[in-house]
Formats: sequence, structure tokens, C-alpha cells
Amino acid sequence: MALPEEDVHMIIKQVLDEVVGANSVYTHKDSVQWNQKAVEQITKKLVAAGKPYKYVVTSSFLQISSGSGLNVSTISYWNKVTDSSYMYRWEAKTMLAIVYVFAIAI
Amino acid sequence: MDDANDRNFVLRPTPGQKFRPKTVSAMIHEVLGEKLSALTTYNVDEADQASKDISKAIRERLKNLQLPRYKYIVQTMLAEQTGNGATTAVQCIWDEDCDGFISQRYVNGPVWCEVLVFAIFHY
Repeated sequence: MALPEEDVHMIIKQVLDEVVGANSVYTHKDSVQWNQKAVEQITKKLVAAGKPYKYVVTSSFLQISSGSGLNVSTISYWNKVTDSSYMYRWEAKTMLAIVYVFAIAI
Repeated sequence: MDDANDRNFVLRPTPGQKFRPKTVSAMIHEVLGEKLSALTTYNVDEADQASKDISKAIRERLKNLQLPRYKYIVQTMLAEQTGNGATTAVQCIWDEDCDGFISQRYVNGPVWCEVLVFAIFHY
């Protein structure tokens, strides 16, 4: 069985709180580093759960300043019984992170 | 035994049936141009519909490649161009040899769009 949704959300939240922190201010240079670090640690924790899955983790950081619109959608072509996707939205004062995790059964 | 369809258990795609990111990049660009060139302003409902349309269109084209045993994930991000910062990071734990990833960006005046495509080989 794939990881339960709450567990994955918890992993993502923990990592983002730790790597970025709710009070950090968005700068482009930092955000690239945070982003890389965040996906790295999320994948590490997912793998540490020891499930036989391939994982794809994507994370987008966006600066929130003037209320610009954003839309993210995903569509997959796979076995919906065994494969699953998770989405988590994390917000801080000046930024928004949208993290997707896809788990594909081997 | 060229055709992976004829085999029950496959460890590798045959060279002709391997997903090659470079070959789909033009296709993605074409779809984006088709769907987005008419978009002149960013509108919430339109964007929602447009991003779904793009994902679906790309998925259909990927299916038409007729690569057996591949699973696909298409992620479309559509946002308003207001000079806000944005970064995307991706990390995958998979079989580098047969799985593939490509990202493609398209900018058109009021909107920018980024598409990520993942192809995962199913053994």
C-alpha cells in the first residue's frame, strides 16, 4: 500500500517548515536553494518509509505580492489502483509553495 | 521479440520503444502555442479550463506515441505574468535508464505556462 495521505502531508509540511520557515521573506536566490533542499529532503523521507515505489516530487515556489493568478493542474495516465498523487499547499507571508508527490508502484 | 506487448515481463524497453524527452519537446510547444496564443488576458475560469485542456491534449499526444508500458504524468502550471518570482524544483527516484522527464516553458504576454512531463516505465 502506498503511504497514507496524512503522512505525506506531514512530511511535506515538516520539511518546508524546517527548510523555509513561516517568517522567511522571498528572494529569488534563496527560493531556488530552499526549493532544491525541500524536494531533496522530501524524497529522502519518502524513501525512508521503505515502500516499493518510484517517486516523483515537484515543488513550485511563488512569490505572493500583487495577487497574481496561478493555476496548477495535473493529469496522469497510469494504474489508479496502485499509483497515487498527493498535493500539498504551503503558505508563508510572502510566498506560496505547491508540492506534488507522485508514487508509482514498481 | 521486438514488441514489448508480446512479452509478459519486461525489464527494459526496446530502443525503438524508449521514451525520448527531446522528441516530445516540439510536440509540447505546439500544443501550448495552439491553446495559449489566443489568450490575451488572464482570467481565473479560463485559466482553469485552459490548463486542464493543455494537460489533456498533451496526454493524448503522448498516448499516440504508442510506447507500450509507459505511464505518464503531465503537470501544467499557468500563471499571470506580473513579475512575481517563481521557481520549480523536481526530484525523482526512479530508473534513470528508461524513465524520462521534460519541462517546457511558454511565455505569451499576459501569461506564462510551464509544463512538466514524466514518463515512467512499468515493468
